Amino acid sequence: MLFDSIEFAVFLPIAFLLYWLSVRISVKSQNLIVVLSSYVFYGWWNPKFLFLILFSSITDYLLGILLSKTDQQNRRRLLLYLSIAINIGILGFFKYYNFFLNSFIESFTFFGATLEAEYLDIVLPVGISFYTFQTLSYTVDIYRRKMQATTDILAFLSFVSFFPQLVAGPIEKAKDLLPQFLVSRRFDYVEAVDGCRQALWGLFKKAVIADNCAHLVNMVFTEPSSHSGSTLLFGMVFFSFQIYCDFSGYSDIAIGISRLFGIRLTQNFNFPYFSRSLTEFWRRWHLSISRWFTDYIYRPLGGSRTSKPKILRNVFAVFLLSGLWHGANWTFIVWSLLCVILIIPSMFTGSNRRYLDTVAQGKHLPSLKECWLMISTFSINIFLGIFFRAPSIAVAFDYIASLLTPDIFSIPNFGGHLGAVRTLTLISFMMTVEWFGREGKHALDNLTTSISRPVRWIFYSFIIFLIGMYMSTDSIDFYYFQF
Amino acid sequence: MGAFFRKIILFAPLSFLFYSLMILVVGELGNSMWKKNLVNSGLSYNYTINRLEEAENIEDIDILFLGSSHTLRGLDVRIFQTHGLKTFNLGTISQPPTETIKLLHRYIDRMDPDKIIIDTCPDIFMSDGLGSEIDIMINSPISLYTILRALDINQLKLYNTLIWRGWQQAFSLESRLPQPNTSRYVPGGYLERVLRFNNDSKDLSSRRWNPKEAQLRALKEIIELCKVKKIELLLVYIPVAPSYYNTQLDLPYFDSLMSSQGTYHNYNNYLDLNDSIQFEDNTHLNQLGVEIFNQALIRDLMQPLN
Repeated sequence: MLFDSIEFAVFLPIAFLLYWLSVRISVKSQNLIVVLSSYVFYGWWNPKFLFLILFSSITDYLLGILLSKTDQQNRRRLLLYLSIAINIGILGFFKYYNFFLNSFIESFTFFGATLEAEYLDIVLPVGISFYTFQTLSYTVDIYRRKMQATTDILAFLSFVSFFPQLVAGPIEKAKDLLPQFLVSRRFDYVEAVDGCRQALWGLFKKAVIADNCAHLVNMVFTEPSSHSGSTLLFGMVFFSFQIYCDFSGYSDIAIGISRLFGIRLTQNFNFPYFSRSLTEFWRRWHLSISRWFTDYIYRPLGGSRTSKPKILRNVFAVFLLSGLWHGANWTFIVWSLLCVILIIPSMFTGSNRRYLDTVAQGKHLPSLKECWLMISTFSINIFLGIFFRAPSIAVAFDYIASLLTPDIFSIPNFGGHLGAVRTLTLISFMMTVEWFGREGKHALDNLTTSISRPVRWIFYSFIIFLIGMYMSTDSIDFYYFQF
Repeated sequence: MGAFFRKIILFAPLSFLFYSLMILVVGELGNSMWKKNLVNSGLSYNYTINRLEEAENIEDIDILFLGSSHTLRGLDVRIFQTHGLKTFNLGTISQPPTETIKLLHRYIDRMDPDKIIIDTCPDIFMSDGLGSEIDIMINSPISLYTILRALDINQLKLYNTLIWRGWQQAFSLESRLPQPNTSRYVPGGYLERVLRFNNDSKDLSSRRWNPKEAQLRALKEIIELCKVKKIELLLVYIPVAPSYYNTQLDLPYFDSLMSSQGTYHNYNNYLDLNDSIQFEDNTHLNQLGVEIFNQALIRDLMQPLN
């Protein structure tokens, strides 16, 4: 079920009403409604996926209890490895089986040998990368004695399957989310209203910006060599906004809806396109997975308080795993390598700790230097985006070769200018709103303190109008569902 | 929670009012770039408003024509009149079977035709019917019928168009949408175009036929309805330019499927037409082609094909 579908528009009010009616009975009944509605939501894609999430949940639930009941270090380690093996095994099979098999065969072909193997027709369960990491955090944190295992199965199932963030995050750590399902939730008017605001803005970004950009991006990435350099340049820009608005839009909807249910999720994006350096960008982009990799990979390896070769190794490990997490494709590996190459100098010089504040804090406009830094950071990101979006390395290089031609100075052609000009105008509106809201937790966060209610309501209605008039009417999946 | 619901109940109608006012403003003042999900021009160039107005007064005819633009530009009621046949052309843009069945339910009893001819070209089975619905909606007054049809199709473009049409009607802003001077409406529903010759039939790529289940189901409903009403039904594949026709990869399957549904004539196989001389574009006959096709059809109606 997609957030921007009619089905979801019917499903959400029903789940909301049942959830808050059940609060009068008990915490368990509230969690039961969460689990049932989440399973309906998830099963809408394919009911078979429910067996997988149920298996994964029950396995980690039982392993968590066993871990908490033993003090023998060897036994605890064994249980942790079992949890990791099962979770990563399931993820690896569904996501990477064909990729590794293909790479294995190709490596033999390179040396002149021929291997034959059977590829499997595997359907990737939606959101598997997200909920696998979430359940893994549970067993790891119990192993590290950072939290107690729960015996409340309904609370645990709610933690794994909570529908707003089930299929595309934010990836929550067990010690942050699970305790919220162990206590009764109370309806909070301010939270609910701000949740609606955040979800509305997320829907605008997804349905209007991301989906309209998607049409233009698909056009240029299908066959880059048939487009002019200028069209490809704009294609890169559109892709940057597609992926940002798709993913941050989804996160805003997920966080906003969760707030309606009295559940707080962590911020996943912090206006990354207003970053002044690449390291600042990575501190603001997909925060939940950055935190996950930092806590469970980077710090255990020694983090940045170690020798320079080891820092290089640690950063490389995080970006490589991050690249592979995104997909089983060599393009993601090249993308992660490029990220490491661009970030490592700042790690060694210590400049990575610059720009911890918000750009032009307390001001309406940035300085010229800040503008230049933001534009150059954005330019690097749109270049990296070629490898992120291209279906293969060959297409990525084809894209770059076709981009760097004299016709980069020509007028771009997207099969008529209407769609591209309209989309650029809507992007400008979105970026303006985000600029003025950049010091809040989401773009419309500070609206209540700065403008009166009638103006606010007109503004919300205007966003609803923009969604109704300019959203893409073709159903386009959230980009991150594929991960 | 009461306060939350009160705010929602207050905000929803105000927001809808603002939304619909913006639709009116953009619909009246905006250029096509800003009307992405609103259709209030362009499709009207087929005199649908004249056709629907006239249809309200048509009774007891010999033959009713239904289908897409192939029908409204391919079946000339005047030619049938010369053979003593009283006909009406109820073709609309991109009219698929799901729309045909709705039009039939609306007009079949009053028009009471002896025979119904429906254009069944393969492309029409791949349509969702949105184009046809909007064409009808912007050319007819808002009624419970149009609202129910909009709900049935459930597309944002249709809802926005419905809102715009509602404002038009409420404020009597209705003016006949501009009609081009390259065509004219012939009483009886036919659309006559200025004679032009096709020069588009180059570099056409081959196409597969992927029909929508809903369209195939609707065709069966039409057949059932005609059986119940005891009306003779003829499925006709109106000629398209031969070079375009030959790009379709699944024609044998399509022909056999249509033949299994009832009386079906594929005139692309019976007539020897030229890409350029008898066609205006790849999918529409020009008046020379219409004359040849209509005469052949009338001949077959009088003396059925074997």
